[in-house]
Order: sequence, then structure tokens, then C-alpha cells
Amino acid sequence: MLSSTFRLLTRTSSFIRPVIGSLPRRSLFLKPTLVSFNEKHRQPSMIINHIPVRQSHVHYTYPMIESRVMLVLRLFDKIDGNALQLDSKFAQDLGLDSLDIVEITAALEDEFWTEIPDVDSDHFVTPRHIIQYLCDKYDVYEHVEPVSAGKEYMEEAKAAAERAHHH
Amino acid sequence: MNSTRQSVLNLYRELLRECHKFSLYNYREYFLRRVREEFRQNRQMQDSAKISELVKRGQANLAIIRRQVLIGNLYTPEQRSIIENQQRLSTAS
Repeated sequence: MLSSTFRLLTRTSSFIRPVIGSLPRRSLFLKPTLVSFNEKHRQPSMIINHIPVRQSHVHYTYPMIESRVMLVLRLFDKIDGNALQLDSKFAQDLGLDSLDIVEITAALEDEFWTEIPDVDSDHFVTPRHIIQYLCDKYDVYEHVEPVSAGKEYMEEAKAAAERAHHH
Repeated sequence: MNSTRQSVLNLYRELLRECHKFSLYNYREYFLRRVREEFRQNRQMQDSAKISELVKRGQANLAIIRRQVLIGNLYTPEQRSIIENQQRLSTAS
């Protein structure tokens, strides 16, 4: 059905072309753009169709990665937010299957705007594994509270994580 | 057995990733829902002939979705669904 319509369209395209050619040129240029010009003016970013961009000046910290990973997991509809712990096993404790893990990986890829190969996502057993993996990926090493830095440091990092959420 | 499992998971991943690319909310949600439903339905499938048939179908559908994403994103309609409009208003204010 679809292919026959397609064939019909391609066949008749030679008849259509002269008609299109007579149309004003401008409208042809404007039509197939992804976002129309008015729309762009009115609204620079739509949340639903928003493509996250990793900004180079935002430095990841351990609390930031942890809170974002936990948020993604909590938002996943098959995970009970109350049962979720750092060390709860996806398969045993949370009752997820391999398809769910794939979905979580996709959600994480969206959240962190990165690609996670299968070889790596196969080893995601607990939330801690995911956080560790992402920390390694972004060269974040200070996952233990640093001795030299005071409590203010952690507060600051947590505030940064909060800000990253609300962006 | 393990290799088919891996290939099925790969296909699922590819499909999800591709469906995410629809710029229209309605299409995106519909395709994501359909893909999830279909995979869940046949989760317990043991028959290997049936599995390979389903995988083939999935691959054909993946190709269709790829084309549709491209075409759909080229010709996005001006008028958006109500949920996208609401989102737009709330972020504008």
C-alpha cells in the first residue's frame, strides 16, 4: 500500500514539478525547516522536544552524578522509589529484567548526553555500578569525602548538582 | 542462545534510540509504547524459528522507523499537539 503510493508519487512528480517551479521561491525555502522562524522567536527552547547539551564549563562532581543517576532511576516507572538503594540489585531486589536495563541505559544516555556501549551496560548490576562507571567516564575521582576540604566543599558540590537539575 | 539474546537486546536498543528521534511528541510516544509492548509480549518466547522471524520483523520495522523519522523531521507541522503547546507556554512565562 505504502510502496504503491510512493511509486505513484514518484511517477507523478514530473507533472508536479512545473507547478512547484511557478510558486514563489521563498515559501519553498521556508517549508521544510525543522523549526519555523516565528516559532524560534517566540520560544527558544521547548522542554518536551529539548535536546540536552553538555556544556563544557559544567564540571561533574560525584554528588551531581549520583543525584542525577538516582533521579533517572526513580523516574523509571518500574522502580519503586522507596525500595531504591545505592546497592540494591536491579534483577534481584528491584525485579527488573534485561529489557528494563536496556531502557535504563537509554534513559541514562539521554540524561548524560553520551553513548554507553553494550559491553559496559552489561555490567550494571546496582546503581552504584552505574555511578562508578559514569564517574570513571568523566574523570571524577573524589567520591570519598576529601579530607583536605571541609564540609563546605560538599555543600557546594550538592548545590551544583541541584542547579544542574533545575537548568 | 546467548547470542540471540544479545542480538534481540541490541535490536531493542536500536529501536528505542531511533524512536527517541521523532520530534513530534505523539509519534514518539506511540512508537516507544509499541516497541515496548511488542518486546514484552514476546519476552517468554522459546521457539528459535519464531524468534528469528520476530527479529527479522523488528529489523524491517527499524528501517521503516528510520525513514519515517527523517521524513517526519523534515516536514514538521506548524500545529503542535496540546501537550507540546502547554509545555511551550509554561516555559515561555
